[in-house]
Amino acid sequence: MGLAGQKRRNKIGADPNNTAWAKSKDNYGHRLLAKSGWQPGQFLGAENANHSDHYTAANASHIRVVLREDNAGLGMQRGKSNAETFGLSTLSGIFGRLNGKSEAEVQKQSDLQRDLELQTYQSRKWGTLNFVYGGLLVGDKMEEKKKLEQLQAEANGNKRKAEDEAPAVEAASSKKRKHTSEAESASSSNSDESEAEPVPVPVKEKKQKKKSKKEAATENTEEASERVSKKERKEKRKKDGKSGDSDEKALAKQEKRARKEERRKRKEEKRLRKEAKGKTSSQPSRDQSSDSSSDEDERSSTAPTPNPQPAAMSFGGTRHAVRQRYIQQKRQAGMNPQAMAEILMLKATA
Amino acid sequence: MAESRFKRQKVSDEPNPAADKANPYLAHMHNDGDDAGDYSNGYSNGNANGASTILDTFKRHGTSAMDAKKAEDGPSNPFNGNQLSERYFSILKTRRDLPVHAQRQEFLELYQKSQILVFVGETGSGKTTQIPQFVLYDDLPQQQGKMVACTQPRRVAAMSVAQRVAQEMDVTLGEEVGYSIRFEDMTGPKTIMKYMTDGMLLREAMNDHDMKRYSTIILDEAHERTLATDILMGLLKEVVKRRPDLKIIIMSATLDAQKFQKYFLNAPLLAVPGRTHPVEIFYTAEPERDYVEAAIRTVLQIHATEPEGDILLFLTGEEEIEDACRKISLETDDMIREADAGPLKCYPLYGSLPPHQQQKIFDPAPKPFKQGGRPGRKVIVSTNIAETSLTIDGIVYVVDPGFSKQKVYNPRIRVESLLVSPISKASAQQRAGRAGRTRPGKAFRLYTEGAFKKELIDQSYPEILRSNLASTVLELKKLGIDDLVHFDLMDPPAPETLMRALEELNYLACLDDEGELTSLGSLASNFPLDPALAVMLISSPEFYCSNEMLSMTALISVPQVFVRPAAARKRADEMKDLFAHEDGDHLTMLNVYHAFKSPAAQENPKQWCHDHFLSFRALQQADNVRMQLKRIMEREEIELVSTPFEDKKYYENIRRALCAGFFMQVAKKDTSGKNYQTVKDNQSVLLHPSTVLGQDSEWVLYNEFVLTSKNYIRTVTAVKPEWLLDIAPMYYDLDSFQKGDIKTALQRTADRMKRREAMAKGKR
Ligand SMILES: Nc1ncnc2c1ncn2[C@@H]1O[C@H](COP(=O)(O)OP(=O)(O)O)[C@@H](O)[C@H]1O
Ligand SMILES: [Mg+2]
Repeated sequence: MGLAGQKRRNKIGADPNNTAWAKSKDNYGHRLLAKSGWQPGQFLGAENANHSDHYTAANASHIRVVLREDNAGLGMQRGKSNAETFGLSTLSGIFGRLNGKSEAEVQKQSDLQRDLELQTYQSRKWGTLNFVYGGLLVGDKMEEKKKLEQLQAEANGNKRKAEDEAPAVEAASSKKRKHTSEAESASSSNSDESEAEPVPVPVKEKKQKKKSKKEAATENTEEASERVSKKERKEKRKKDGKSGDSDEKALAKQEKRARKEERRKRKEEKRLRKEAKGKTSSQPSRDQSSDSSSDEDERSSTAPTPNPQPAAMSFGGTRHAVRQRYIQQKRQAGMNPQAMAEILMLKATA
Repeated sequence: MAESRFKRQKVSDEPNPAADKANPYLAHMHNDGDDAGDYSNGYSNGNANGASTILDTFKRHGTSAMDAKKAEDGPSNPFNGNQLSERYFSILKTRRDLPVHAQRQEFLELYQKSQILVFVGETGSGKTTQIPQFVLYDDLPQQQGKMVACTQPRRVAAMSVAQRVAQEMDVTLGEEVGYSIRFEDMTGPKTIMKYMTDGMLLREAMNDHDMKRYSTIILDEAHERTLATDILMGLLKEVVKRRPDLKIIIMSATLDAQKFQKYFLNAPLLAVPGRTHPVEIFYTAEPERDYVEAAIRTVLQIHATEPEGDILLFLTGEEEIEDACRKISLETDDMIREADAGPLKCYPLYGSLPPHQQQKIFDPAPKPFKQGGRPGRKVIVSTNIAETSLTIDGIVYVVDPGFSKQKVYNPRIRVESLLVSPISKASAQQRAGRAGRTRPGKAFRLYTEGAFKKELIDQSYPEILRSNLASTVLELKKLGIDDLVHFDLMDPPAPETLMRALEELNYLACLDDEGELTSLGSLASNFPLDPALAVMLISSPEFYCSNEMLSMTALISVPQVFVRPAAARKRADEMKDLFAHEDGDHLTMLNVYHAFKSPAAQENPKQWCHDHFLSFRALQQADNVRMQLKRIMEREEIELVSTPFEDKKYYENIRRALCAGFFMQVAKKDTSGKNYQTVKDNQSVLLHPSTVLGQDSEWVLYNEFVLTSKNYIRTVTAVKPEWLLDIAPMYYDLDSFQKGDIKTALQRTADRMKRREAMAKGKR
């Protein structure tokens, strides 16, 4: 009986979708539907319905769902490689872009220091999550990414903005670019960044909007929205003629000023930070990890874990994990030019 | 014009005026005295206290925005003649700033001109609170002895919005403005504006097919596409043909309203331009391993690094939300102590939250600790409710992990489950939009942009495509709809889903073999319950335990009564053991309820529940549900009986009575001795670890099939195959079984029963 029993069990288990029921045409429900004139393969609902063109497969058969692992974030469950996102944060240079410094900027130094302390505390204790800018939602429509900066400036008033552009790895056309929102990268020096960057040297373009320029911001909305890669700009200029030209100049000037201002700020911030933290300050706060990432690369000898993150809910001991992740991301991106290309493609089609 | 598919219900019992009178769904037919032939809300002319107001001079469906403005400006309340309060005028000012207000005249013109109107406006534009009031000033339902109804998919929203509108109109909630939700009716004879769940309106329609007590019906949040709203749309499409005086407004927060327009045969559409601020979208650089953890960290990060502004975090369910609130509060306490962070207040928001707690989400953010200190912040951790149903001002940051709890139904294995599933792109945009209410905001999505594009579907599936339709089919039958195949739905369900629903109702004897409603089915439809539960309750007197089954049904209808905090699992389990009944979880729950009702526990029920790791709220709710169901039982003249507790059949009777409802949810241990096999659908399942039942029961019935990587059955009770054959002979007709272990076992049981019967006869 043992063998026979086994066989039978297998047979029963072999129909997890209960196709036996689905196929049967003589069950009660099937019979009643047929009685009302329904035939297999037909949709239910009013005949010749005015709205039937939006029916989908879900109107024909039940919705299939994929069971997920507990609490795994979106995009995690498939177990596929995360190639398309590797190194994004590196590219954008906004490791830990969240910041309150813009606020601090316009406040007193003591405030600045206080903010830094809180941020440092936060990022040390729980680790900083990286976010990548994804555009601007206006009403229920996504605005072109180009416009975002300007709209932001308008929206956020005195917020300091910067934009990194990393055009053109071989595979990507010159148009493909990456935008990042908050310019924490601003505080990581340009040279540092490009040294650490294992990609073909990205052209950096920094931009800053300050409170003093707020009035200008509104008028500048259009031009700034057009401030795209140089190529595009040229095209624009052809069309726009003179006005485009002058816009261009104003822009360049503004940029220059902005960069200068930024450098000054950066220095000041660095100084402040040092004051605040003394020599032990190697916390994983975004700025610093970018600053010191090149030597960090050499120092780190522990094998990077696949997806290091602060341990769930313990929220402790994250300092290293975060740094490790950062380093690893950079590496990965460097080692995988195809992934890089993919990133850029991805952003380009956005 | 096509012939209406509507027919008066066939299987209606003899009219029974006494029963009708007691039926709350028909209450409106009686409260005007018997000579008033029409349907009335208690006063058919002017207003309640007889005072004449400016509204008496208004011409119904002929007013303008100017007229309304004059009436609104007072000085006396146009609806009850009272002096208008200061608060009224201050709210009035803010109301006139809402986007919908600018279009009041345009709205009125369209409303007066057409019977059906589709109205679209962004969340927060004033649809739910303002449009019904616009209607009141023009429709003047009080002159007709009718009401304006506005449906909401969620109980929370119906209550909260009714309260707000009562405030805006300067009236007492429950008088001119009221709400009606399952198990709670907060309306009175003066009510002219009724917020209600869509499910409630559907239930009312079952006893009043033409919805005669309403002059205008507003289906709000239609974009949510709940099952009840979809069915109501189908019904109303027919009702408007029979009632030319009835006006319908479909309100939606999304711009794909063309779908609605098309469905309603090109009804006019009015769209109010939005006035929200732009929202910056951020994605994570890589997928998150644990979205709850990532969500909490993001909230903390925002608190530490972003300027002033409140945070809205979307999570999936009560437990997750409460847990997150606790953790966020704990961690911010540290942050405040150690790094001088600003104060932060964390509020949960979900459907089963008691109303006074729901109201807290509208409290302003906490003040800084000291003058010039860091600004305070509030964090609202919410389910989908905050996506479109409730508007909370002051939100600047949205944290969206991209999940919500969604129902799914697989008719082949007959499993309906609530699963945490990815939301749609449309939902994600709605969520993000919440950040732009008062000023430009930021939305942090805890997934990558790639995941947004590739893993999220464009639009969420309407509920009708994700549900077991047994109750719906019963309702439709009761509504007199005979041809279910061609019932005009915006999204017709999968044929297999309808087949299963019909089949289940046939096994429950709610439908006869020709698909007609039986008297049992008609009776069952009067209960706001799943047909299986209703049938169980109706047949419980046959098992001498209707009192107990009333409690049982109530317990099954509320959230889990056992609390099992992660920190005290062992203690909680020990406490549960105090109530455990060896024959299963249903009886264990009943023991809990009886203990809860004992004088000792009632002395301080809250403390008692706390001490015993039980949910006070769930038990209280069960108590309330029981009371409501009892009223229906009495109205329907179903006997309330009990077996004496000393009788050794006390528990057996209850288990048998359970079989009368749950005979389609039975599993038998398979030959391996570990797994169970569901009857007929042959799914391999395990007993849920929470069960008090030992592993030695051959046959079990279950309340819930939990769909995970391992399939569990939860809330199980041991039963005997004899009972099944006896109580549900049609379902357990052996010829309908596939060959196998279960059939063999049933066959043996049947043979044994036959032998015993023969022996008994021989003895006689
Ligand atoms: N309970 C409430 N407390 C305070 N203000 C509220 C409340 N409910 C609504 N409001 C205000 O009314 C406005 C309009 O809300 P509502 O009519 O619900 O908009 P919609 O239905 O279009 O989403 C909101 O923006 C809010 O300012
Ligand atoms: Mg609304």
